[in-house]
Amino acid sequence: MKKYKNIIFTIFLCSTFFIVFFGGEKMKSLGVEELDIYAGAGVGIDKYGEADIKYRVPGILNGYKLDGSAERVISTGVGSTIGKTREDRQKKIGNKLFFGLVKLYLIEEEYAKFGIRPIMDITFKNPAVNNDLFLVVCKGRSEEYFMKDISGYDNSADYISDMIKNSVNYNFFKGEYMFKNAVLSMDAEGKNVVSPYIEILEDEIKITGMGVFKKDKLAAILDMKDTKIMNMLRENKVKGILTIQKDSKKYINYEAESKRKITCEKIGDKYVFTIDLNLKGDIINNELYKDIASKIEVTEKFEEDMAKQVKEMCSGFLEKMKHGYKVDLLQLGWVAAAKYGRDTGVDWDEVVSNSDIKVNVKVSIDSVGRGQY
Amino acid sequence: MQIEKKNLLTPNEVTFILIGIMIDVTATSLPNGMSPTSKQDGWISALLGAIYPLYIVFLAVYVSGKFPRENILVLSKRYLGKTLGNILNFLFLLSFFSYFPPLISTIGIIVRTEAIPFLSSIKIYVALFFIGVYAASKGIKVLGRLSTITFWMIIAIMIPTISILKQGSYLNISPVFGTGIVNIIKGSVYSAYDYSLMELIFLIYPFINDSSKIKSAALKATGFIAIIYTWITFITIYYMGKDIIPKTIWSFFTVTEAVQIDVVNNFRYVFTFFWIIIAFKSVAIFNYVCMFFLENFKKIKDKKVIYVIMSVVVIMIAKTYYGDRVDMEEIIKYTLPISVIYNLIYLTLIASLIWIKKEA
Repeated sequence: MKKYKNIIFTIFLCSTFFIVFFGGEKMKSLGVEELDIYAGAGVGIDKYGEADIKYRVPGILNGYKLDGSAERVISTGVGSTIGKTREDRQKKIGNKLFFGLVKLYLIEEEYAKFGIRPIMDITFKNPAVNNDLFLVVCKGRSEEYFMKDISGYDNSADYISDMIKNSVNYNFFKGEYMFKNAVLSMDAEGKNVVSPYIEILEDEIKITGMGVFKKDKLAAILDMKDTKIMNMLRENKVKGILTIQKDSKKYINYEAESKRKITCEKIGDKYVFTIDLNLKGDIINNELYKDIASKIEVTEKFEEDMAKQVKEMCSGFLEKMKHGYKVDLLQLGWVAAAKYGRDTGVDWDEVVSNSDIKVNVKVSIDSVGRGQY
Repeated sequence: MQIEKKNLLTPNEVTFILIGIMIDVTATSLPNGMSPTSKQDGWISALLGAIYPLYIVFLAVYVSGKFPRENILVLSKRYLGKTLGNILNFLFLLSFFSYFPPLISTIGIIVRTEAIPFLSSIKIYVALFFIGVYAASKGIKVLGRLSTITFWMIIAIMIPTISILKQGSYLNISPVFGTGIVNIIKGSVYSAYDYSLMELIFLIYPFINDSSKIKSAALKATGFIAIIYTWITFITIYYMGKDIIPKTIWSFFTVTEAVQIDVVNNFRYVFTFFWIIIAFKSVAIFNYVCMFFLENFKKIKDKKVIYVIMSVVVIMIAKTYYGDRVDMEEIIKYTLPISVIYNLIYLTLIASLIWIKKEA
């Protein structure tokens, strides 16, 4: 008996191993053909009354034909909760739905005003979802955007996400309008979520501004002019073009990269914010200043003029922010909370709207190109 | 206990084993425990928590200086008599054992959430024990080598997180000391739990090949752990801010997600892969420790069978009582403070007895 003890023991171990790993529930592995891999999803609601709301989640994916060409497929799930929309969708499609590789959420304006917390939660809970997906607010119904044919792209979700990704080159966009950034700022004290706002204009999908959220609800939509200034003051190290224009022939274009620093002081009950904006960049086009490349006085004059103009733009914007939008668009509350303590229970939107905000602008020229024609 | 010379541990291996038992998978949720009380100053709490292992090291250095070749179990029997000594040793085993089922249960939950959701937890447990028991049965020297490898793994997966410094903001950690000293100390009590199990040093110091190095080895381990824990807490607060940390369960995973490395699509998967290997090492050390205790009570002839029985018992306990996270937290809430306080009292008692006897 003792002789066989080792053998019995080994057999026991092996059989446990096999029973545990190959017994029980069969592991299901699906081929990629059996999955509907969505490229983008829209989120919208239909209101049928005060308490009766139905979620509508259209998803877009590439369907591949036998000859290898791709075709856009849109399927929509409807339900009183976002979870139910999945159930509803599965009833209509031939494959298992798979949201792991979604590049884009198109949030309809009406839903954004209603509150985006449910969609944030359902995405956040699932560790398999791509965190780099973009959150974009759109005007009207999201299906309209997905229905559009874009030349060079299989579907419009790819196109819109590429558009947001490359928006950083101009207009002072930061490009970090992703889900992971929204998670970090939605409930943080003094911070808020921003996301690009798109519209269909003249049959083209276009960024026309920026939506700013207050917690989970859309609080303001800025037009492109305000968006540019907000981005410049809100983000650090962003790029854009600034112009001084006399008439349609006399103008100067200045492509600048910004550096921004916010300091905060508390005087009595009032907060005073100082935003130091340093712009450094190239003259890409100049028909206004003669001899800018050679004469130091001209350069200085330009820098002065530009600084003055930017400052005017900013103070106009800040007035509008304090009295019009009444939202802390620049995340100034975050700076103040970091200096004067957190969890004091103040509403930073209100505090910032009643505080003094100063902007100091410094403009400097990095290069003027290879000459002046 | 006679040990062959080549089976002795080098001082570095002692350091790595101590690091190995302290860092386990729960370190990823370290910032979560501190954020309700010490808020943005959680990283200072993490640093302060190191006082607890330092105290243990202080005791261990004293005891090992007096008796470099006898471990704490032998000493307690000598100073307290066989019966009382055995009872206290058994309670000491229980305090170690109370960390074991929650550990494998946490590993199971993390693996199922972050990496492979389609595996059932029993499969993960069985795989853990096959590897863990095999490593443990090969003796302390193998554990030393295993811990050395995992130590370098920890370094390798922590270095990429330095790049997060570019993405977070100093605004998230300021005002420094803004929560007040009292709250920081309250938070450090929580972090002390993560520093527990340094007590292992009382069992392994007889295995070191150069007894004079025990002090530096233990201090190095404590220093490294303090740095790693402070870094994990600091970078998590720096990146996420104290308002967002409570929304996650293992907040450090969210940080690793933000690491951007060319070619690597998502660093979290790389991190999870190494983190699971680190978990295997913890299971191996725990298996060894439990066997070590049992051997001390009674000479064991057939270790294999005991290991199998032990694995089955631990898996059963983990499945029944520590099945999901909420149940687990409910039990840990009581077991953790009890075992930490018991360990402190027990070790202080033995050390002071040695001190008194020497005086007398």
